[in-house]
Amino acid sequence: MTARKVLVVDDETGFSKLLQLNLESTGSYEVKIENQGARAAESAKWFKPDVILLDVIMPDISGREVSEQVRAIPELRDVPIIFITAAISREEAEMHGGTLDGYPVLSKPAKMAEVLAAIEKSLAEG
Amino acid sequence: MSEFDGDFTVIPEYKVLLIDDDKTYAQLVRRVLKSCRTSRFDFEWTPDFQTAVDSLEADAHDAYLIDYKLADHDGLELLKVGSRRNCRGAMILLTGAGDSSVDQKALELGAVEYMEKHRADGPMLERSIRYAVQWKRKEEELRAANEQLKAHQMQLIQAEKMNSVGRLAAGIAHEIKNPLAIISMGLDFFRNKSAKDEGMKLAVDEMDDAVTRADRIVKGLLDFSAPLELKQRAEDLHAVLSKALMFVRHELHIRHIKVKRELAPKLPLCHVDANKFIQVFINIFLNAAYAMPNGGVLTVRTKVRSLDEVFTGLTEDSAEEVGKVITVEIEDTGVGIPEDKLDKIYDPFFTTKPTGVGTGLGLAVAKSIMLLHGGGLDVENKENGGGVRVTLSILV
Repeated sequence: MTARKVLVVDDETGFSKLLQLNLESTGSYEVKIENQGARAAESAKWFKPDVILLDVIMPDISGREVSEQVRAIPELRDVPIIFITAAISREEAEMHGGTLDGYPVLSKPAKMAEVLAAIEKSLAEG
Repeated sequence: MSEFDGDFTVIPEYKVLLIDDDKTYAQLVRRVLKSCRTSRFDFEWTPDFQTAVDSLEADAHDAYLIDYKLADHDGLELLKVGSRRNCRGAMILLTGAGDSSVDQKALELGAVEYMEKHRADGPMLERSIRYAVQWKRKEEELRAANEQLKAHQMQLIQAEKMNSVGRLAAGIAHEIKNPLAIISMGLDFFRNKSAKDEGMKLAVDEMDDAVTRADRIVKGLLDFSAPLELKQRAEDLHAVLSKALMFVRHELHIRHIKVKRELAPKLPLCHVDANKFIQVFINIFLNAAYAMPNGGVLTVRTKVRSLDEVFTGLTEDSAEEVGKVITVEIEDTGVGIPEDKLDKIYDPFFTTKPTGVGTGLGLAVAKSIMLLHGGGLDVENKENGGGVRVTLSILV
């Protein structure tokens, strides 16, 4: 089975590396990290991810802007995006139906089981 | 203290106690005060020191005429008693001729007037009592105003302190949650790598619990410092309650807690911020759940009452309808709150839960949300013991 490609966009290098380690250790994913939000759309363009895990608050650009840039690229219009952020609590996320701006959202600190479930759900729906 | 005499003139009335072992002088004062036309005096006399002490402690007179020389005591001792008890009545020290040395001493001990007996004729005595009582009343008003001011200052300081905590929390929450996310990811990595190592598993689980705790504290602080704005809409509180119960169903289930609903047939729509109310209900439900670790019953009761009923205890049928109040009572069958802790339960960071279980912010947050809605939140132990009742009230 081909590994699914996951683009992790997060300015937290420690978090993105560990997320990569955890995802790749399952054997099911190939992960590319982008720590600079402003370069995320460009990275997505050539990496062609199956799913994007996207931070919301980053120093150079917001996750919302990145999502708009990604959506503006025709071949990436339908790539599932999952927000993963410390900006809202788990309870707030639940109160908003688990979405932010219409995208699934995970609250940091998130468990790997939650991340994997969200990825698989998005891939299945995508 | 005063009454209408039928002649459109208000005659002040004073309750006066004379403390003096000289019966003749007492009779003289009684006569003098009785003959006074500008004021009315309810005069009492005692020669007994202990009776005088009891009277000062009871503080039921407007003025005390205290003789300096008593049988086995002196008037200064009584002034001390009155001062110590913050006596609201005016204390006037009377002396015989040649005792003027006690003047200053009397003043220091709280006397508002000092008179030499032989100089005090009827009008002078009456006037001195009147002025002394007025002086004492003004002093009392000033003291009360000062106390009020102090209380307001304390509230302001407290509010500012909480405000600072809030600003700080909002500022650092994001910065704390990100490192927590890194630790959490790292722990997941270790968990996968050493799935068969029991010791490692235990260590990772403990650290994972610590991350969860820290995250909960951050959330509590954020809730506490959330901007004080409400998004109010007409809501059905029963629907809001159901949603909140759904959020805590796991916590209730693992503790074998049954939910008993005693809901009013129909609630009028209520202008509230549903999300904030869900938060209030969740906080109270979780407190109840923690109070019943071995199972119990969580009762949720709603009622519609008239304002009159709330304030006077009248039933809705008998009360004139001036407005509706929805009350939500949430009861548990837990151990209750120790009486000496009841006045602290709204204090931020106060918790009766074991270390690491509660943040001590839940009820403080709930109370502030209710106040923001113009509603109320009261917590009491149930009359028959065995649990706590939280009553929320909100105007329709």
